[in-house]
Amino acid sequence: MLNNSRNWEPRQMFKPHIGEPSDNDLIRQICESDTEAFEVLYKRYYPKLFRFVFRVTRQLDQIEEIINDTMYVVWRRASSFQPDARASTWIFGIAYKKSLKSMSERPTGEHLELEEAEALIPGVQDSGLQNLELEDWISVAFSKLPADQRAVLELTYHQGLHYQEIAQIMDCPENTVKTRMFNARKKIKALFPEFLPESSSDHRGYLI
Amino acid sequence: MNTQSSLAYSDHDEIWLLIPWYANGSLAGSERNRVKAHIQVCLLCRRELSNQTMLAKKLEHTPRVEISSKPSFERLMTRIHEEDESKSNRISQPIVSQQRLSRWRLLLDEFFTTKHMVPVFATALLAIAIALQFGGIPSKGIKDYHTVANSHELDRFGTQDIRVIFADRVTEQEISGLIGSIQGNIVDHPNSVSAMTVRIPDGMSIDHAINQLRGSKLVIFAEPALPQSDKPNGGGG
Repeated sequence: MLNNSRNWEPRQMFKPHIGEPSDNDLIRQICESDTEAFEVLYKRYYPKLFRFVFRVTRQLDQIEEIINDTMYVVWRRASSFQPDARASTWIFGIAYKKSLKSMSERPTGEHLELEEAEALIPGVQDSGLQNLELEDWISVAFSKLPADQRAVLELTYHQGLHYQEIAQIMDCPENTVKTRMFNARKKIKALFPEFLPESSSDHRGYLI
Repeated sequence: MNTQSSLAYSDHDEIWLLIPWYANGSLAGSERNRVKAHIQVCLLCRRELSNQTMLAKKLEHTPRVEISSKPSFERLMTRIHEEDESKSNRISQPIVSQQRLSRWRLLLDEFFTTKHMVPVFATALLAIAIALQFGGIPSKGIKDYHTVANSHELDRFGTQDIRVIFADRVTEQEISGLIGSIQGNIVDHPNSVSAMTVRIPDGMSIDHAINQLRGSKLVIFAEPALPQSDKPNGGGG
């Protein structure tokens, strides 16, 4: 029987290696102004946030600022973090809000080309950034979706999160997450029928 | 169509919405079983699961971008430190001010009760009246205002004199060494603002001597004792 969900495993984004402190441990230490713990958490989340913020905002030149605004809140408000909650949900929730704020402050269409943005992002090696923009249709598809739908896609398929956790991150009802995903799927299929064929126009199923 | 299949099919719309999370493996328990049972009997959902799995694989692709987080982290820490410093400055200033204010308030409360206020006001009024009668508020006190080079002291200085203020913890030996390096002599000991006057030999460039003094960490101020009228003054050392 078909069981595609087993052919592909979601990424294990939030599990530290054996012997490394957990995110929650680090946040506990950050509450005591431990800058070393903060640096470890920062390094751990930087690539994840980089990718997530890029997916949501598509503004390469704003990524560092958004990440630092996010981690600034983590540093300042570490004591408000509930120890029984997931640190990743908290951090991604902050990053999502900061991303939306950054986008609202910038007129739409004011995006930099990748080559222009490369010079603005510190620490990015030459010719590496182009790889961020996939050369296939998925990038085009993302550019056609609104930020909230991009965020749901990214959190579902790259971060491998359940819709309940996505709802927490995006601070919205679970049904809204499902609807956003539904609309994103519909749009992608409409734009690229050759990649995601049929079954979209009429999703009424039938028995076999 | 059997009954079990009908039941599995009945919530097609709901299952359709859940397919992405079945595809990413995050569904668990009864929710996962419901989707699984439906997919076994629904061709459309099966195709959709296949599509979503493909989409997931595409999105899973991690860009090969080598990003160093270190510069960004350092910038963030600089921002945090700067904010902390300015915050602590803002906090300490009001505390000092508040302490002073409360001290003054105590003094006022102690000495300026209602019975004291009448003579105070009377004295103040009398002082104003006298001042007005004799042509305004006396300005004699202005002469006592000290600067590093008060105009009434200028007669004492020559063109080769330099006013110097040394740092607090400088030793006499260090002062002698510094003054010796410009072949100077102390001609006037520190005044009320700790400025001493050093005279350099005739023919020696005063600008050069001042620059030499300013180059030392032990000197916090070095200026010609007399204003130099032929060129603009460059400010304190």
